[in-house]
Amino acid sequence: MVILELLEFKCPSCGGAVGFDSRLQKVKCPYCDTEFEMETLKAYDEALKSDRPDEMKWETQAGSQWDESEASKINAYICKSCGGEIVADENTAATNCPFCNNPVVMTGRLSGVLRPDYVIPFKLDKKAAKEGLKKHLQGKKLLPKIFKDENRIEEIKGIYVPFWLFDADAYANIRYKATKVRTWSDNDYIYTQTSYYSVWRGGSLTFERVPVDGSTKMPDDLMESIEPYDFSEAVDFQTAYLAGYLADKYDVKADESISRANERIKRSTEELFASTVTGYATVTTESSNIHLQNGTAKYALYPVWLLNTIWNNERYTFAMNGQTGKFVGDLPMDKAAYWKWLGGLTAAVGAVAYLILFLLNLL
Amino acid sequence: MRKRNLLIVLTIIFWVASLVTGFAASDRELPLLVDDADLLTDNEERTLNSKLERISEEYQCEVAIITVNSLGSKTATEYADDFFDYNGYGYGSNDDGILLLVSMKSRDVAISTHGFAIRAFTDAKQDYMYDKFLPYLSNGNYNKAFSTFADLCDEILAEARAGTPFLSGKRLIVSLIIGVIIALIVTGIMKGQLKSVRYQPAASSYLRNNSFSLKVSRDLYLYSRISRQPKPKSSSSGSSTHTSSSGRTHGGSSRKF
Repeated sequence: MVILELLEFKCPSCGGAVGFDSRLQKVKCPYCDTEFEMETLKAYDEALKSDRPDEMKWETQAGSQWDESEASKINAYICKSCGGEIVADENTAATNCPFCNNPVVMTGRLSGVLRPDYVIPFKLDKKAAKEGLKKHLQGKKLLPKIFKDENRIEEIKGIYVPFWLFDADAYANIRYKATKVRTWSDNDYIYTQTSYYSVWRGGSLTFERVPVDGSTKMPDDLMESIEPYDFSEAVDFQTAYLAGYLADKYDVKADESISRANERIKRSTEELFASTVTGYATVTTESSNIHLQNGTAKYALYPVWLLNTIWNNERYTFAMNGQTGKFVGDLPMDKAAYWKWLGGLTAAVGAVAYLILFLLNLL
Repeated sequence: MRKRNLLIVLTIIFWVASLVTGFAASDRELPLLVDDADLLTDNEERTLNSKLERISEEYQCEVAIITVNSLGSKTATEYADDFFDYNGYGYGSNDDGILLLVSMKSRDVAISTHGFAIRAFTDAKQDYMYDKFLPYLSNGNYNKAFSTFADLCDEILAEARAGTPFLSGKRLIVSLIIGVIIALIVTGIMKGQLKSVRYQPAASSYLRNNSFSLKVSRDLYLYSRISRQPKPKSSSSGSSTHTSSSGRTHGGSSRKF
């Protein structure tokens, strides 16, 4: 009589229920015919049970309240055209909206926003920003020539952009399915042996001050493009740093910005752990559980040089990191030049290829 | 008087020259067609021999047909190679030539090539030739088989001597495709230069130095599977070669008929 042990496992290959066959002293999946060692299955099953869903929790205590005397030195402006809200210290007269270049109106005192915790002061001046733009437009063969001449480079503005900074310790437990492939051959056949592995990686890592742009007026992709900022140069916020510059008011709260920071932290964590799985032909993630702890958020102002320009009824926005000088901004394409290059290159490369094929006696 | 001397000298030079070149060209003692098995009539032999001579001269590559009753202890390929080598077949200093051997007793047929003919008559070309003339040989229509063989040699040698033509539609299409692909890549890079605004997918610049600690690292072997696939038959476009008893390199193949 055959005694079947009452142990049930999940087949790592197809997910079907498999039982131990004491007669075979082995485990064979009835659905996909894969055979396993009992020890392997036990270890696999234990690890499966430890899989947990992601947990991401943050404490947001970013920013603080302004004190009366400080707040009174700051003027708030609103742009009637695009709805942009900016602030400037009492000695800086804001006249034009940095987002749409239309005149702004002073609305009075600062209200309803928190005081930043930190500020990274501007390190590069307007001259450097203009140089940055010139360099940005150089050496781009498909850029329409007149675009360079028509830019109102004088209107480049220095603006402090509100960022939420998130700190977090990430704990990860990730399970991968990995394969190794070995091939050999005899006279008639090529054999391929695919070995399947279950791979676990677990550990922790710490992220510091992952920034998320807190202003809807500033496109998020534009702000992420001028990253990273070097936080070691940040200082505690003082209104004096605002002199001569505009500051954008945040209109996205910290807890609304968390999801973006989470996405990026999760991605980085996954990438880092995946880079420790080496020596395999293929690696796929089967389950990933990332847990964030001690998440604290801070509110900071980061320096950005900004230029908005309209060309052929399209808006082009350029931004320069006011600390590192990294310059970004999508540029228009000269379609005629594109087709000329495509046609010319096809003809030139095609001719060379033709000659090489002829000389090598191919085709 | 002087003119006459000059004429004599020129005549001698001419005579010596023709003797030397004539000698060099005819280190072969046998005709191109050797019908030892007596498969052809005298008339057929004459026609075929002059055809072989014309082809050999035209492409500077000798085409020979040998029929024998038996091979002795040799294989058809060995016999053909040796017959070619020891009887001085082959055109010019490289002994370029192809030899067809037919042995009646064992009903073997072999092709042996040397020099330029190795390159001209690739394995695929030889298969193509056998397909064309073997049926006649099997039917006993020897004259038709041999003249077909000669015509095929004519055709293949003409092609080989002409080399590859400069104009080719296939080559044009392939090079255009290469051109378009590379042009698309290069203009794609140029287009990419215009785009500098993109989301940062990860946050790796904000990872604190040395904060990464790997606590679990476990690799568990589960199972393995073996699959097999038939080996693809090699379809090389070249000519396979071997070394004959005289140590020279020959190409060729043999069949039964």
